[in-house]
Amino acid sequence: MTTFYIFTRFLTFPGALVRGLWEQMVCRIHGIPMEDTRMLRRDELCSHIEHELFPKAGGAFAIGFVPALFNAVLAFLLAIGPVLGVFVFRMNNPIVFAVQLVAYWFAFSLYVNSYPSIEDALNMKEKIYREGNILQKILFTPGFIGCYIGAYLERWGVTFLLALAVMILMIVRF
Amino acid sequence: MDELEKNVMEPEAQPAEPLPDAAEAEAEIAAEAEEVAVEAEEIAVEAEEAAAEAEEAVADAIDAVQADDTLPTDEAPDAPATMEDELVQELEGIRDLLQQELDKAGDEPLIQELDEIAAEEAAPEEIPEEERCQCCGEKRRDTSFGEDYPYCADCRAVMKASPLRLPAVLMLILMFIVAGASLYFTSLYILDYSTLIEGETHFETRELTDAAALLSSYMSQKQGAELAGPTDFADAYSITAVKHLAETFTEMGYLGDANEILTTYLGEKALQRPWNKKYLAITEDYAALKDTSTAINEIMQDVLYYGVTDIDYEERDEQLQSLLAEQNEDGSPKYNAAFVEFYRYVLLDLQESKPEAMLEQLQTVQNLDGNEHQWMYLPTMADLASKIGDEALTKEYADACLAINSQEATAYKAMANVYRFKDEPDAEKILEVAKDAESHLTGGSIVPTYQELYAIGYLLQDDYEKAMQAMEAYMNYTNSSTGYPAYSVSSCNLYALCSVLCENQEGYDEMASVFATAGMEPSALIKQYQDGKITLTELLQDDGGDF
Repeated sequence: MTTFYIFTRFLTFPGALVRGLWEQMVCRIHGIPMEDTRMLRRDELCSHIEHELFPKAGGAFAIGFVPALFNAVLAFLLAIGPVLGVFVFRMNNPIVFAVQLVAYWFAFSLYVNSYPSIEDALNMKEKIYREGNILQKILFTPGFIGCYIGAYLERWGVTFLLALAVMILMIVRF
Repeated sequence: MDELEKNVMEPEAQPAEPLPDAAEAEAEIAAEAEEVAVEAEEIAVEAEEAAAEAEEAVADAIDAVQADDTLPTDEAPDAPATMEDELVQELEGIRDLLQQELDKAGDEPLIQELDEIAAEEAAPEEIPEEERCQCCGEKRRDTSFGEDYPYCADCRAVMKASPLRLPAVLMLILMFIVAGASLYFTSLYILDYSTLIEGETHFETRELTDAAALLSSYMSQKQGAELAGPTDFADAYSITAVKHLAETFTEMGYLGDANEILTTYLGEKALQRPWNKKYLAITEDYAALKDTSTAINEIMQDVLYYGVTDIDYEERDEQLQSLLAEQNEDGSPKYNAAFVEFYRYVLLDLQESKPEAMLEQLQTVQNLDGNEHQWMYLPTMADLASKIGDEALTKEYADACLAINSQEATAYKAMANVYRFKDEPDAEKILEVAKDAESHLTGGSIVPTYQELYAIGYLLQDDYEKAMQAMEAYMNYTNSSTGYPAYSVSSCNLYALCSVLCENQEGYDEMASVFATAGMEPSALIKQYQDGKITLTELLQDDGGDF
């Protein structure tokens, strides 16, 4: 499973790099020491950076949610053109087609690498529900659920398979 | 002196519970310290004694000076006091000298030893391996962040400020550039996408007539787009639109149009690709139909194109059937069986056979194996079923038609005819069908045939005004693509009838002039109705489709 996970990370390395970058930025903002900032590595932390656990609920939520949000927004911007121009309407222009394909690969890789590591997801759970106040519990719950489930799906390579299935569906459908 | 003693005595004050080797070393140090302390004590006593003597000598000297009357007093402040000052200075100098000697004589070894002890204490402490920082391996872990915290404060500070990874930053910049380019290209096609989404929606909701009109119009605008070349980004057509238009035409029975658009825009090479199998099949079907059509024309040319009716129908039927037996080299049928069977139906129609017989013939088409485009004959079958008056069968065929194309006007007309040709016409049901048709036949390129159905329904309810309004709406329609109205024999006759019933002579005359331009006249049934020879219901139930 880990081999497959690492294989999918390397296949989608643009998203892995950017995900790691967002994590690094969040760590710097919160003053959390980062032990290893390599994003592409051959272990379970591939696409994530190795950092100390966040001591507070806000930070623990931010390290999982903010990179996911930024990746999602960027992936959306990158996917609009290819979905319309390549999959739905197939505009007959080779240069545009090539650019849109690259954009789709980036969007694909961002989505595949959008969720936090399981370690961060568990820390998020711990900090929000054991140490967080009631407002944090209410505000962070929707984001937490997405990040928590996504972390496990991503760890098992399911997000990659899902993105692949959606792509195949679009090819077949259109 | 106290501090000195304290420092020296400290080792004695610390009880030791050391390990065997360390205990010996510590005992030696303690003994040495004790000796040094004793020496220091002796020196201190000597120094105290010397100081006391010196102080005493100074005091005596001062007393002696004060007792001397020759020296100036306070009453004479201006008198020189240099003697006393000089003496005091001299005595202080003696005391300093004594002190220096004392320091030199007694403190040097002591200070030296104390320095050595202090140096030993200041020497770098040996940090156990398990307490060292896991990052630098030298400094002690900073346990203020927890007992097991693995890093020292310095390493922690460095880790907090880890520089951003250059490849990641460059990748992010590249992504923004690609996103910008992608959105720019997308913006060039916004209008295309808008049109195509509309066409796609019609296609999805089985409004094939609208889809065909919209996509045909789009492709007409894009004609020659492929000649503009790949650098003219905005000038490109959608391959999906080409495929959907071909599918739309095929499902509507316009195989020739489907074939033309596929061969023009996709091309022979693209059609051979595995994922275009479906579209290649359309062109192959068309080729087969074309061959069949050529063969049929050879048999039926005089009938179809020259209106010859004096023929031996049985002989022609046999000739058509003989086509069904012909095979290709690989054993497959040479001609499209459904197409041949359809022309056998045409022969029956030319002989003015009963609707039952004609419907039976077309049912053989439906029972053929394989994809023979059987759906193309469903509207005709629905029409025949309505003429028989079989409501269930008409509905079955009409529903089958509408499942493919919800804008198939013939299907609505067939359903309305079921209720129109009943012994007791059901105007309410006709109006229901008209309402249903109206909800689907809404496109600018679709003839509003539902208005005819409304008119018939209202006429059967003797509501002539509403019938007239419906027919006026019909006659005012102009096709959004061609700009032409959609006059037909039945619509013109209905309009003329409504004009008569509404006593609108002008309207009737207008229709008469329209007929006259085609060398025709309004239906004789209207005249018969005016003469009172037939009732309005009989007029509307007249078979022949003029109404």
